[in-house]
Amino acid sequence: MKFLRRFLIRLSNFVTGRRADQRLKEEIAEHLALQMEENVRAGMTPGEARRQARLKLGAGGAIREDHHAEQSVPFFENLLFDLRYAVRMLLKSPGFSFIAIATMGLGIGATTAIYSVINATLLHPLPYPNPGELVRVVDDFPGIGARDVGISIPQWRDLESSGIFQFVSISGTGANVNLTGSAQPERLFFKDVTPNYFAVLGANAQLGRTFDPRDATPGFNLEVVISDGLWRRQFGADPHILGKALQLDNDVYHVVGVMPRGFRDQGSSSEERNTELWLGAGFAGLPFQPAERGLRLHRVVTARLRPGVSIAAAQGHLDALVESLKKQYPGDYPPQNEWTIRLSPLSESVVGGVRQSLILLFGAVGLVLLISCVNVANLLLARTSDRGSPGPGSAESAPHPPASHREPAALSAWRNRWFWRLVLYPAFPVAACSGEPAAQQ
Amino acid sequence: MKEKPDVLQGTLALMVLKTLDVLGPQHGWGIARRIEQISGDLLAVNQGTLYPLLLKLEHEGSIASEWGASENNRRARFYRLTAAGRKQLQAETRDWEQTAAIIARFFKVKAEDLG
Repeated sequence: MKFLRRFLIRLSNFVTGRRADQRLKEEIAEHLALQMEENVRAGMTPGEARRQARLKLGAGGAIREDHHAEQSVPFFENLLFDLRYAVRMLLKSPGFSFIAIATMGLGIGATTAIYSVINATLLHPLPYPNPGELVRVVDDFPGIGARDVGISIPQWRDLESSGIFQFVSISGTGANVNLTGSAQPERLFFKDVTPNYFAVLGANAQLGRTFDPRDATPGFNLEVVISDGLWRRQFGADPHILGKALQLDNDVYHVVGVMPRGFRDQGSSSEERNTELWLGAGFAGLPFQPAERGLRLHRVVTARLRPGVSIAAAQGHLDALVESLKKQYPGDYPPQNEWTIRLSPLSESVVGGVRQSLILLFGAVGLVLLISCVNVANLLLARTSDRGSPGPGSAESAPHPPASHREPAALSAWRNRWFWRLVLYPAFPVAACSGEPAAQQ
Repeated sequence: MKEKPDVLQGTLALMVLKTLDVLGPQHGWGIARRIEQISGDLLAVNQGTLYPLLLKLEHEGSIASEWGASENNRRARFYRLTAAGRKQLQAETRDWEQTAAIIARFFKVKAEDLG
Protein backbone atom coordinates (compact mmCIF):
# COMPACT_ATOMS: atom_id res chain seq x y z
CA MET A 1 0.00 0.00 0.00
CA LYS A 2 2.77 2.34 1.06
CA PHE A 3 4.79 1.37 -1.95
CA LEU A 4 1.85 1.91 -4.27
CA ARG A 5 1.12 5.33 -2.81
CA ARG A 6 4.73 6.34 -3.23
CA PHE A 7 4.85 5.06 -6.80
CA LEU A 8 1.65 6.85 -7.78
CA ILE A 9 2.86 10.16 -6.39
CA ARG A 10 6.14 9.78 -8.24
CA LEU A 11 4.34 8.84 -11.42
CA SER A 12 2.07 11.85 -11.20
CA ASN A 13 5.13 14.04 -10.58
CA PHE A 14 6.73 12.53 -13.67
CA VAL A 15 3.66 13.04 -15.83
CA THR A 16 2.95 16.58 -14.68
CA GLY A 17 6.64 17.47 -14.68
CA ARG A 18 6.45 18.69 -11.08
CA ARG A 19 9.93 19.13 -9.67
CA ALA A 20 11.25 19.58 -6.16
CA ASP A 21 14.58 21.15 -7.09
CA GLN A 22 13.73 24.59 -5.78
CA ARG A 23 12.46 23.22 -2.51
CA LEU A 24 15.61 21.16 -2.00
CA LYS A 25 17.80 24.13 -2.82
CA GLU A 26 16.09 26.25 -0.17
CA GLU A 27 16.20 23.47 2.37
CA ILE A 28 19.92 22.92 1.85
CA ALA A 29 20.68 26.62 2.01
CA GLU A 30 18.84 26.85 5.33
CA HIS A 31 20.55 23.70 6.54
CA LEU A 32 23.99 25.09 5.75
CA ALA A 33 23.15 28.41 7.43
CA LEU A 34 22.03 26.70 10.63
CA GLN A 35 25.07 24.38 10.70
CA MET A 36 27.39 27.31 10.06
CA GLU A 37 25.96 29.28 12.93
CA GLU A 38 26.53 26.36 15.22
CA ASN A 39 30.08 25.93 13.99
CA VAL A 40 30.76 29.63 14.67
CA ARG A 41 29.34 29.28 18.16
CA ALA A 42 31.78 26.40 18.63
CA GLY A 43 34.59 28.83 17.92
CA MET A 44 35.41 28.40 14.22
CA THR A 45 36.23 31.26 11.87
CA PRO A 46 33.37 31.99 9.44
CA GLY A 47 35.35 30.54 6.50
CA GLU A 48 36.19 27.34 8.35
CA ALA A 49 32.61 27.14 9.66
CA ARG A 50 31.23 27.23 6.11
CA ARG A 51 33.74 24.62 4.93
CA GLN A 52 32.93 22.24 7.77
CA ALA A 53 29.19 22.68 7.24
CA ARG A 54 29.54 21.73 3.59
CA LEU A 55 31.71 18.71 4.43
CA LYS A 56 29.14 17.49 6.89
CA LEU A 57 26.34 17.87 4.38
CA GLY A 58 28.10 15.66 1.81
CA ALA A 59 28.32 15.83 -1.98
CA GLY A 60 25.66 18.19 -3.28
CA GLY A 61 25.36 16.53 -6.70
CA ALA A 62 24.65 13.10 -5.26
CA ILE A 63 22.03 14.49 -2.90
CA ARG A 64 20.32 16.35 -5.72
CA GLU A 65 20.28 13.23 -7.86
CA ASP A 66 18.88 11.02 -5.13
CA HIS A 67 16.30 13.63 -4.30
CA HIS A 68 15.30 13.96 -7.94
CA ALA A 69 15.17 10.19 -8.36
CA GLU A 70 12.85 9.98 -5.38
CA GLN A 71 10.67 12.78 -6.69
CA SER A 72 10.13 11.21 -10.11
CA VAL A 73 10.58 7.84 -11.83
CA PRO A 74 14.10 7.79 -13.32
CA PHE A 75 13.42 4.66 -15.34
CA PHE A 76 10.61 6.33 -17.29
CA GLU A 77 12.59 9.54 -17.58
CA ASN A 78 15.49 7.74 -19.20
CA LEU A 79 13.21 5.74 -21.43
CA LEU A 80 11.46 8.87 -22.62
CA PHE A 81 14.77 10.59 -23.16
CA ASP A 82 16.21 7.70 -25.16
CA LEU A 83 13.08 7.29 -27.24
CA ARG A 84 13.06 10.98 -28.06
CA TYR A 85 16.67 10.67 -29.08
CA ALA A 86 15.89 7.65 -31.25
CA VAL A 87 13.04 9.44 -33.01
CA ARG A 88 15.31 12.41 -33.67
CA MET A 89 17.96 10.15 -35.20
CA LEU A 90 15.35 8.55 -37.45
CA LEU A 91 14.06 11.92 -38.61
CA LYS A 92 17.60 12.97 -39.39
CA SER A 93 18.01 10.15 -41.90
CA PRO A 94 14.62 9.74 -43.62
CA GLY A 95 15.95 7.40 -46.31
CA PHE A 96 17.27 4.95 -43.79
CA SER A 97 14.11 5.22 -41.72
CA PHE A 98 11.91 4.60 -44.73
CA ILE A 99 13.77 1.43 -45.67
CA ALA A 100 13.75 0.16 -42.11
CA ILE A 101 10.05 0.91 -41.61
CA ALA A 102 9.10 -0.62 -44.97
CA THR A 103 11.07 -3.78 -44.22
CA MET A 104 9.47 -4.24 -40.84
CA GLY A 105 6.07 -3.28 -42.26
CA LEU A 106 6.23 -6.05 -44.83
CA GLY A 107 7.13 -8.64 -42.23
CA ILE A 108 4.56 -7.54 -39.69
CA GLY A 109 1.84 -7.02 -42.30
CA ALA A 110 2.23 -10.47 -43.81
CA THR A 111 2.26 -12.13 -40.40
CA THR A 112 -0.83 -10.24 -39.24
CA ALA A 113 -2.72 -11.02 -42.44
CA ILE A 114 -2.07 -14.74 -42.24
CA TYR A 115 -2.69 -14.78 -38.53
CA SER A 116 -6.10 -13.20 -38.94
CA VAL A 117 -6.99 -15.93 -41.45
CA ILE A 118 -5.78 -18.61 -39.05
CA ASN A 119 -7.61 -16.99 -36.18
CA ALA A 120 -10.88 -17.03 -38.11
CA THR A 121 -10.56 -20.53 -39.56
CA LEU A 122 -8.36 -22.76 -37.42
CA LEU A 123 -8.76 -21.18 -34.00
CA HIS A 124 -12.42 -20.19 -34.14
CA PRO A 125 -13.88 -22.22 -36.97
CA LEU A 126 -17.39 -22.44 -35.53
CA PRO A 127 -18.66 -19.59 -33.39
CA TYR A 128 -21.50 -21.65 -31.92
CA PRO A 129 -22.07 -23.34 -28.56
CA ASN A 130 -20.74 -26.94 -28.27
CA PRO A 131 -19.33 -26.97 -31.81
CA GLY A 132 -18.18 -30.58 -31.30
CA GLU A 133 -21.79 -31.74 -31.63
CA LEU A 134 -22.20 -30.20 -35.06
CA VAL A 135 -21.85 -32.55 -38.03
CA ARG A 136 -22.34 -32.44 -41.75
CA VAL A 137 -24.42 -35.25 -43.30
CA VAL A 138 -23.89 -36.50 -46.87
CA ASP A 139 -24.85 -39.53 -48.94
CA ASP A 140 -22.20 -41.65 -50.65
CA PHE A 141 -22.81 -44.15 -53.44
CA PRO A 142 -19.44 -45.87 -53.81
CA GLY A 143 -21.03 -48.49 -56.09
CA ILE A 144 -21.50 -45.88 -58.81
CA GLY A 145 -18.57 -43.68 -57.81
CA ALA A 146 -20.63 -40.83 -56.37
CA ARG A 147 -19.56 -38.98 -53.23
CA ASP A 148 -21.00 -36.03 -51.31
CA VAL A 149 -24.44 -36.48 -52.81
CA GLY A 150 -27.37 -34.62 -51.29
CA ILE A 151 -30.22 -36.21 -49.43
CA SER A 152 -33.91 -36.39 -50.17
CA ILE A 153 -36.71 -34.96 -48.07
CA PRO A 154 -38.06 -38.37 -46.99
CA GLN A 155 -34.54 -39.36 -45.95
CA TRP A 156 -34.29 -36.11 -43.97
CA ARG A 157 -37.48 -37.03 -42.15
CA ASP A 158 -35.99 -40.47 -41.43
CA LEU A 159 -32.91 -38.85 -39.93
CA GLU A 160 -34.98 -36.44 -37.85
CA SER A 161 -37.04 -39.26 -36.37
CA SER A 162 -34.09 -41.65 -35.93
CA GLY A 163 -33.25 -40.35 -32.42
CA ILE A 164 -29.55 -40.06 -33.30
CA PHE A 165 -29.65 -36.29 -33.60
CA GLN A 166 -31.16 -33.41 -31.66
CA PHE A 167 -31.97 -31.67 -34.92
CA VAL A 168 -31.17 -32.15 -38.58
CA SER A 169 -31.43 -29.08 -40.78
CA ILE A 170 -31.33 -28.47 -44.48
CA SER A 171 -30.18 -25.21 -45.92
CA GLY A 172 -30.08 -23.96 -49.46
CA THR A 173 -26.90 -22.59 -50.94
CA GLY A 174 -28.42 -19.13 -50.89
CA ALA A 175 -28.73 -16.50 -53.57
CA ASN A 176 -29.20 -12.80 -54.06
CA VAL A 177 -32.55 -11.09 -53.74
CA ASN A 178 -33.77 -7.53 -54.19
CA LEU A 179 -35.09 -5.78 -51.14
CA THR A 180 -37.49 -3.04 -52.26
CA GLY A 181 -40.08 -0.86 -50.61
CA SER A 182 -37.69 0.31 -47.92
CA ALA A 183 -35.79 3.61 -47.84
CA GLN A 184 -32.97 2.24 -49.97
CA PRO A 185 -33.44 -0.69 -52.38
CA GLU A 186 -30.66 -3.18 -51.84
CA ARG A 187 -29.41 -6.46 -53.24
CA LEU A 188 -28.95 -8.90 -50.41
CA PHE A 189 -27.75 -12.44 -49.88
CA PHE A 190 -30.39 -14.74 -48.46
CA LYS A 191 -30.41 -18.36 -47.46
CA ASP A 192 -33.44 -20.64 -47.22
CA VAL A 193 -33.24 -22.92 -44.22
CA THR A 194 -35.45 -25.42 -42.44
CA PRO A 195 -37.10 -23.85 -39.39
CA ASN A 196 -34.86 -25.84 -37.03
CA TYR A 197 -31.70 -24.34 -38.55
CA PHE A 198 -30.99 -21.95 -35.67
CA ALA A 199 -31.77 -24.68 -33.16
CA VAL A 200 -29.02 -26.76 -34.80
CA LEU A 201 -26.53 -23.92 -34.56
CA GLY A 202 -27.65 -23.08 -31.02
CA ALA A 203 -28.14 -19.42 -31.89
CA ASN A 204 -30.88 -17.16 -30.57
CA ALA A 205 -32.23 -13.87 -31.84
CA GLN A 206 -31.30 -10.66 -30.00
CA LEU A 207 -34.75 -9.27 -30.84
CA GLY A 208 -37.86 -11.32 -31.49
CA ARG A 209 -37.33 -15.01 -32.20
CA THR A 210 -35.87 -17.39 -34.73
CA PHE A 211 -38.09 -19.89 -36.56
CA ASP A 212 -40.14 -22.39 -34.59
CA PRO A 213 -38.30 -25.73 -34.99
CA ARG A 214 -41.63 -27.58 -35.07
CA ASP A 215 -43.01 -25.45 -37.90
CA ALA A 216 -44.07 -27.94 -40.60
CA THR A 217 -44.95 -25.57 -43.44
CA PRO A 218 -44.01 -27.42 -46.64
CA GLY A 219 -42.98 -24.35 -48.66
CA PHE A 220 -41.71 -20.95 -47.51
CA ASN A 221 -43.33 -19.99 -44.21
CA LEU A 222 -42.99 -16.30 -45.22
CA GLU A 223 -41.04 -15.48 -42.10
CA VAL A 224 -37.64 -13.83 -42.30
CA VAL A 225 -34.86 -13.46 -39.75
CA ILE A 226 -32.45 -10.61 -40.49
CA SER A 227 -28.85 -9.95 -39.51
CA ASP A 228 -27.76 -7.28 -37.06
CA GLY A 229 -25.85 -5.51 -39.83
CA LEU A 230 -28.92 -5.20 -42.06
CA TRP A 231 -31.09 -4.13 -39.14
CA ARG A 232 -28.74 -1.26 -38.30
CA ARG A 233 -27.91 -0.25 -41.85
CA GLN A 234 -31.29 -0.42 -43.50
CA PHE A 235 -33.67 0.07 -40.58
CA GLY A 236 -31.69 2.29 -38.20
CA ALA A 237 -31.82 -0.39 -35.48
CA ASP A 238 -35.59 0.16 -35.24
CA PRO A 239 -36.83 -1.62 -32.07
CA HIS A 240 -40.29 -2.02 -33.64
CA ILE A 241 -39.03 -3.95 -36.66
CA LEU A 242 -40.80 -7.17 -35.62
CA GLY A 243 -43.77 -7.89 -37.85
CA LYS A 244 -42.60 -5.45 -40.52
CA ALA A 245 -43.27 -6.60 -44.08
CA LEU A 246 -40.26 -6.88 -46.40
CA GLN A 247 -40.67 -7.00 -50.13
CA LEU A 248 -38.10 -9.50 -51.41
CA ASP A 249 -38.31 -9.71 -55.19
CA ASN A 250 -42.02 -10.40 -55.68
CA ASP A 251 -42.87 -11.87 -52.31
CA VAL A 252 -43.67 -10.32 -48.96
CA TYR A 253 -42.07 -11.74 -45.83
CA HIS A 254 -42.55 -10.72 -42.22
CA VAL A 255 -39.63 -10.04 -39.94
CA VAL A 256 -39.76 -12.29 -36.88
CA GLY A 257 -36.29 -11.76 -35.42
CA VAL A 258 -32.93 -10.02 -35.54
CA MET A 259 -29.77 -12.06 -34.99
CA PRO A 260 -27.15 -10.73 -32.53
CA ARG A 261 -24.24 -8.63 -33.70
CA GLY A 262 -21.61 -11.38 -33.46
CA PHE A 263 -23.64 -14.06 -35.23
CA ARG A 264 -22.17 -15.34 -38.46
CA ASP A 265 -23.64 -18.05 -40.59
CA GLN A 266 -21.58 -21.10 -41.48
CA GLY A 267 -20.64 -21.85 -45.03
CA SER A 268 -17.69 -22.20 -47.34
CA SER A 269 -17.93 -18.85 -49.13
CA SER A 270 -17.63 -15.45 -47.50
CA GLU A 271 -20.94 -14.54 -49.13
CA GLU A 272 -22.59 -17.37 -47.23
CA ARG A 273 -20.92 -16.43 -43.99
CA ASN A 274 -22.24 -12.89 -44.42
CA THR A 275 -25.82 -13.95 -45.05
CA GLU A 276 -28.23 -11.18 -44.08
CA LEU A 277 -31.62 -12.80 -44.58
CA TRP A 278 -32.79 -16.22 -43.53
CA LEU A 279 -36.05 -17.53 -44.98
CA GLY A 280 -37.84 -20.40 -43.31
CA ALA A 281 -38.85 -23.22 -45.63
CA GLY A 282 -39.93 -26.86 -45.47
CA PHE A 283 -38.35 -27.79 -48.84
CA ALA A 284 -41.29 -30.10 -49.50
CA GLY A 285 -44.12 -28.01 -51.02
CA LEU A 286 -44.18 -25.42 -53.79
CA PRO A 287 -42.01 -23.82 -55.05
CA PHE A 288 -39.80 -26.79 -54.14
CA GLN A 289 -39.79 -30.19 -55.84
CA PRO A 290 -42.17 -32.79 -54.38
CA ALA A 291 -40.82 -34.91 -51.55
CA GLU A 292 -39.64 -38.02 -53.33
CA ARG A 293 -36.97 -40.45 -52.24
CA GLY A 294 -35.28 -40.32 -55.61
CA LEU A 295 -34.77 -36.54 -55.55
CA ARG A 296 -31.54 -36.12 -53.62
CA LEU A 297 -31.23 -32.36 -54.01
CA HIS A 298 -30.30 -31.15 -50.56
CA ARG A 299 -26.58 -31.02 -50.30
CA VAL A 300 -26.11 -28.84 -47.22
CA VAL A 301 -27.34 -30.87 -44.29
CA THR A 302 -26.17 -29.79 -40.86
CA ALA A 303 -27.10 -31.70 -37.75
CA ARG A 304 -26.53 -31.49 -34.01
CA LEU A 305 -25.74 -34.77 -32.28
CA ARG A 306 -27.29 -35.62 -28.93
CA PRO A 307 -24.99 -34.45 -26.11
CA GLY A 308 -22.28 -36.98 -25.27
CA VAL A 309 -22.72 -39.04 -28.42
CA SER A 310 -19.49 -39.34 -30.41
CA ILE A 311 -19.44 -39.11 -34.16
CA ALA A 312 -18.26 -42.73 -34.40
CA ALA A 313 -21.14 -43.96 -32.22
CA ALA A 314 -23.65 -41.93 -34.24
CA GLN A 315 -22.17 -43.31 -37.44
CA GLY A 316 -22.72 -46.85 -36.08
CA HIS A 317 -26.40 -46.16 -35.41
CA LEU A 318 -26.68 -44.54 -38.81
CA ASP A 319 -25.26 -47.61 -40.60
CA ALA A 320 -27.92 -49.75 -38.95
CA LEU A 321 -30.59 -47.28 -40.03
CA VAL A 322 -29.28 -47.40 -43.63
CA GLU A 323 -29.51 -51.22 -43.67
CA SER A 324 -33.13 -51.20 -42.57
CA LEU A 325 -34.04 -48.44 -45.05
CA LYS A 326 -32.44 -50.40 -47.89
CA LYS A 327 -34.68 -53.34 -47.05
CA GLN A 328 -37.69 -51.08 -46.78
CA TYR A 329 -37.16 -49.26 -50.07
CA PRO A 330 -35.22 -51.64 -52.33
CA GLY A 331 -36.38 -49.71 -55.41
CA ASP A 332 -34.84 -46.43 -54.26
CA TYR A 333 -31.63 -47.90 -52.86
CA PRO A 334 -30.52 -50.72 -55.17
CA PRO A 335 -27.76 -52.85 -53.58
CA GLN A 336 -25.22 -52.19 -56.38
CA ASN A 337 -25.16 -48.48 -55.43
CA GLU A 338 -23.82 -49.39 -51.96
CA TRP A 339 -25.60 -46.42 -50.38
CA THR A 340 -24.18 -45.07 -47.13
CA ILE A 341 -24.70 -41.95 -45.06
CA ARG A 342 -21.48 -40.30 -43.85
CA LEU A 343 -21.02 -37.91 -40.94
CA SER A 344 -18.10 -35.51 -40.68
CA PRO A 345 -17.34 -32.79 -38.13
CA LEU A 346 -18.70 -29.48 -39.30
CA SER A 347 -15.43 -27.75 -38.42
CA GLU A 348 -13.63 -29.97 -40.92
CA SER A 349 -15.99 -29.09 -43.71
CA VAL A 350 -15.49 -25.38 -42.97
CA VAL A 351 -11.72 -25.48 -42.85
CA GLY A 352 -11.53 -28.25 -45.42
CA GLY A 353 -8.13 -29.30 -46.62
CA VAL A 354 -6.43 -25.96 -46.09
CA ARG A 355 -5.31 -26.61 -42.50
CA GLN A 356 -1.89 -27.92 -43.53
CA SER A 357 -1.19 -25.23 -46.07
CA LEU A 358 -2.33 -22.49 -43.68
CA ILE A 359 0.07 -23.67 -40.99
CA LEU A 360 2.83 -23.91 -43.55
CA LEU A 361 2.05 -20.43 -44.82
CA PHE A 362 2.07 -19.06 -41.29
CA GLY A 363 5.47 -20.61 -40.69
CA ALA A 364 6.72 -19.04 -43.90
CA VAL A 365 5.55 -15.52 -43.07
CA GLY A 366 6.94 -15.98 -39.56
CA LEU A 367 10.33 -16.57 -41.16
CA VAL A 368 9.83 -13.55 -43.40
CA LEU A 369 9.23 -11.45 -40.29
CA LEU A 370 12.34 -12.91 -38.69
CA ILE A 371 14.40 -12.14 -41.78
CA SER A 372 13.14 -8.57 -41.94
CA CYS A 373 13.99 -8.15 -38.24
CA VAL A 374 17.51 -9.43 -38.88
CA ASN A 375 17.86 -7.12 -41.85
CA VAL A 376 16.80 -4.07 -39.90
CA ALA A 377 19.07 -5.04 -37.02
CA ASN A 378 21.93 -5.33 -39.51
CA LEU A 379 21.11 -1.93 -40.96
CA LEU A 380 21.11 -0.35 -37.52
CA LEU A 381 24.39 -2.03 -36.62
CA ALA A 382 26.01 -1.06 -39.89
CA ARG A 383 24.94 2.53 -39.41
CA THR A 384 26.35 2.54 -35.89
CA SER A 385 29.75 1.17 -36.87
CA ASP A 386 29.76 3.57 -39.81
CA ARG A 387 29.58 6.42 -37.35
CA GLY A 388 32.68 5.14 -35.56
CA SER A 389 32.82 3.87 -32.04
CA PRO A 390 31.33 6.63 -29.96
CA GLY A 391 33.09 7.35 -26.72
CA PRO A 392 32.38 9.65 -23.81
CA GLY A 393 34.09 12.41 -25.77
CA SER A 394 31.63 12.59 -28.63
CA ALA A 395 29.01 14.29 -26.61
CA GLU A 396 27.85 16.47 -29.45
CA SER A 397 25.63 13.79 -30.96
CA ALA A 398 24.19 12.48 -27.73
CA PRO A 399 23.15 14.96 -25.10
CA HIS A 400 23.41 13.79 -21.54
CA PRO A 401 20.28 12.50 -19.94
CA PRO A 402 18.78 14.53 -17.14
CA ALA A 403 20.66 14.11 -13.85
CA SER A 404 20.10 10.53 -12.74
CA HIS A 405 23.42 9.31 -14.10
CA ARG A 406 26.20 9.23 -11.64
CA GLU A 407 29.43 10.31 -13.25
CA PRO A 408 31.56 7.44 -11.96
CA ALA A 409 29.48 5.00 -14.02
CA ALA A 410 31.81 2.41 -15.50
CA LEU A 411 32.83 2.82 -19.10
CA SER A 412 31.43 -0.58 -20.00
CA ALA A 413 28.07 0.42 -18.64
CA TRP A 414 28.36 3.54 -20.70
CA ARG A 415 29.07 1.58 -23.86
CA ASN A 416 26.22 -0.69 -23.01
CA ARG A 417 23.99 2.33 -22.91
CA TRP A 418 25.27 3.46 -26.26
CA PHE A 419 24.31 0.16 -27.71
CA TRP A 420 20.80 0.58 -26.39
CA ARG A 421 20.52 4.09 -27.62
CA LEU A 422 21.89 3.61 -31.09
CA VAL A 423 20.70 0.14 -31.95
CA LEU A 424 17.76 -0.93 -29.89
CA TYR A 425 15.84 2.24 -29.17
CA PRO A 426 15.56 3.22 -32.85
CA ALA A 427 14.05 -0.21 -33.32
CA PHE A 428 11.04 0.72 -31.19
CA PRO A 429 9.80 3.65 -33.27
CA VAL A 430 10.58 1.72 -36.43
CA ALA A 431 8.54 -1.21 -35.21
CA ALA A 432 5.77 1.07 -34.02
CA CYS A 433 5.55 2.85 -37.38
CA SER A 434 5.53 -0.43 -39.29
CA GLY A 435 3.12 -2.21 -37.03
CA GLU A 436 0.51 0.51 -36.90
CA PRO A 437 -0.80 0.20 -40.49
CA ALA A 438 -0.53 -3.56 -40.31
CA ALA A 439 -2.64 -3.69 -37.19
CA GLN A 440 -5.36 -1.69 -38.90
CA GLN A 441 -5.75 -4.13 -41.72
CA MET B 1 41.75 3.60 12.83
CA LYS B 2 38.36 1.97 12.99
CA GLU B 3 35.75 3.51 10.72
CA LYS B 4 32.46 4.72 12.04
CA PRO B 5 29.71 2.21 11.15
CA ASP B 6 27.40 3.14 8.32
CA VAL B 7 23.77 3.54 9.19
CA LEU B 8 22.05 0.26 8.67
CA GLN B 9 19.72 0.19 5.72
CA GLY B 10 16.28 1.25 6.87
CA THR B 11 17.24 2.24 10.38
CA LEU B 12 17.73 5.86 9.40
CA ALA B 13 14.05 6.06 8.51
CA LEU B 14 13.17 4.65 11.91
CA MET B 15 15.43 7.23 13.60
CA VAL B 16 13.76 10.04 11.68
CA LEU B 17 10.29 8.86 12.67
CA LYS B 18 11.29 8.50 16.33
CA THR B 19 12.91 11.94 16.34
CA LEU B 20 9.75 13.55 14.97
CA ASP B 21 7.70 11.59 17.51
CA VAL B 22 9.77 12.88 20.42
CA LEU B 23 10.50 16.44 19.31
CA GLY B 24 7.41 17.28 17.27
CA PRO B 25 7.70 19.15 13.95
CA GLN B 26 11.32 19.71 12.95
CA HIS B 27 13.25 20.97 9.96
CA GLY B 28 15.91 18.86 8.23
CA TRP B 29 18.85 20.24 10.14
CA GLY B 30 17.11 19.71 13.46
CA ILE B 31 16.48 16.06 12.65
CA ALA B 32 20.05 15.50 11.47
CA ARG B 33 21.46 17.12 14.56
CA ARG B 34 19.25 15.16 16.91
CA ILE B 35 20.27 11.86 15.30
CA GLU B 36 23.90 12.86 15.63
CA GLN B 37 23.53 13.80 19.30
CA ILE B 38 21.67 10.66 20.28
CA SER B 39 24.06 8.34 18.49
CA GLY B 40 26.87 10.07 20.32
CA ASP B 41 28.78 10.87 17.15
CA LEU B 42 29.24 7.15 16.57
CA LEU B 43 27.30 7.19 13.33
CA ALA B 44 28.69 8.80 10.23
CA VAL B 45 25.69 10.28 8.49
CA ASN B 46 26.15 12.60 5.59
CA GLN B 47 23.48 15.01 6.60
CA GLY B 48 22.51 15.52 2.99
CA THR B 49 21.31 11.91 2.59
CA LEU B 50 18.49 12.83 4.92
CA TYR B 51 16.64 14.92 2.33
CA PRO B 52 15.91 12.20 -0.27
CA LEU B 53 14.83 9.99 2.63
CA LEU B 54 12.48 12.66 3.95
CA LEU B 55 10.92 12.98 0.50
CA LYS B 56 10.49 9.22 0.33
CA LEU B 57 8.81 9.07 3.73
CA GLU B 58 6.56 11.91 2.67
CA HIS B 59 5.58 10.04 -0.51
CA GLU B 60 4.80 7.00 1.60
CA GLY B 61 2.55 9.11 3.80
CA SER B 62 4.45 8.59 7.05
CA ILE B 63 5.33 12.24 7.38
CA ALA B 64 4.03 15.52 6.03
CA SER B 65 5.80 18.82 5.50
CA GLU B 66 5.06 22.51 5.14
CA TRP B 67 6.98 25.75 5.11
CA GLY B 68 7.49 27.52 8.42
CA ALA B 69 9.91 29.88 10.14
CA SER B 70 13.11 28.55 11.68
CA GLU B 71 14.70 29.67 15.02
CA ASN B 72 16.28 32.68 13.38
CA ASN B 73 13.16 33.58 11.45
CA ARG B 74 14.13 32.25 8.07
CA ARG B 75 11.98 30.11 5.80
CA ALA B 76 12.46 26.39 6.53
CA ARG B 77 10.61 23.23 5.64
CA PHE B 78 9.12 21.58 8.72
CA TYR B 79 8.37 17.87 8.87
CA ARG B 80 5.82 16.28 11.18
CA LEU B 81 4.62 12.76 11.87
CA THR B 82 1.24 11.76 10.39
CA ALA B 83 -1.17 9.29 11.98
CA ALA B 84 0.01 6.63 9.56
CA GLY B 85 3.62 7.42 10.44
CA ARG B 86 2.90 7.04 14.15
CA LYS B 87 1.35 3.63 13.55
CA GLN B 88 4.32 2.63 11.42
CA LEU B 89 6.72 3.77 14.13
CA GLN B 90 4.95 1.65 16.76
CA ALA B 91 5.01 -1.42 14.53
CA GLU B 92 8.65 -0.99 13.61
CA THR B 93 9.67 -0.33 17.22
CA ARG B 94 8.03 -3.59 18.23
CA ASP B 95 9.80 -5.49 15.43
CA TRP B 96 13.11 -3.93 16.24
CA GLU B 97 12.89 -4.73 19.97
CA GLN B 98 11.96 -8.30 19.19
CA THR B 99 14.93 -8.73 16.85
CA ALA B 100 17.29 -7.13 19.34
CA ALA B 101 16.03 -9.37 22.16
CA ILE B 102 16.55 -12.51 20.09
CA ILE B 103 20.07 -11.49 19.10
CA ALA B 104 20.89 -10.57 22.71
CA ARG B 105 19.76 -13.98 23.89
CA PHE B 106 22.03 -15.64 21.32
CA PHE B 107 25.01 -13.72 22.62
CA LYS B 108 24.26 -14.58 26.25
CA VAL B 109 24.07 -18.34 25.77
CA LYS B 110 27.33 -20.17 26.54
CA ALA B 111 28.26 -23.66 25.47
CA GLU B 112 27.84 -25.15 28.98
CA ASP B 113 24.31 -23.73 29.27
CA LEU B 114 23.24 -26.07 26.52
CA GLY B 115 24.88 -29.08 28.30
